[in-house]
Amino acid sequence: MKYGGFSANRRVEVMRRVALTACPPEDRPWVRAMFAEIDAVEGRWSRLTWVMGAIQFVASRNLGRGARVLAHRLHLAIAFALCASILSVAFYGAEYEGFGIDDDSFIVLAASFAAISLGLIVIARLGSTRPPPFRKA
Amino acid sequence: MARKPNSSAQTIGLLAALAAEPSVWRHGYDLSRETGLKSGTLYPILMRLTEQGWLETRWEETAVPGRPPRHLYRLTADGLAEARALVAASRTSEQSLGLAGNEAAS
Repeated sequence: MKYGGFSANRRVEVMRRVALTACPPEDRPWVRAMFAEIDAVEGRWSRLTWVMGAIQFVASRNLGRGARVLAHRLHLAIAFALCASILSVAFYGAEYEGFGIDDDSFIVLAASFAAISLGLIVIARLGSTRPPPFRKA
Repeated sequence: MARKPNSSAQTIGLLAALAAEPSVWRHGYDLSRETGLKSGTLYPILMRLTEQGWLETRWEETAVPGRPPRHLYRLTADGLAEARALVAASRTSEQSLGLAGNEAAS
């Protein structure tokens, strides 16, 4: 089966390699398992939907991993925001104009940032899932 | 109210398919055709059931050179017991809903 000199099997192989590279290492056996079924899938449309399902699977797993990384980084961000709030309070009353923002606005900004960060952490934690171990018989 | 784990229609359908012939190793595509589940739905369920110890897996070497080994699935003893209980509970629930619907209609 050839389309424009680039066989369908070759396309699937390229997608398989991309998916294997993109997915977390612990998910690779599952991605291999999905792509190994391609040869058994009957019909061009069914093969396409099967591959799309595999890509959807990889994307969803990466989304979970990305959310975990984001959550980890946001811990640093929230620590920074809290430090900024404390520093801002310490400088309150002094003629400090860090970043061209007055002290009251800076406190509000830092507190808002902290609250938004906290909210994002909660969302990221809820959205992220730990990949299961790959069990063998 | 939190839903019981593995009580979705898709998971029950998959468990019913696996429990029909519990000693037989099944391919992913075979299960997909029987249950009507797309690969993007089927495999996350298979992963979850494997994680929970309900499924065991193995690789099957193919006779055709160049083809990758295929992955096979079947229920563990614990998984079979849980699957039978869940499928039976699901059928009972469907029947009682059907009876309630008939009574409401009449």
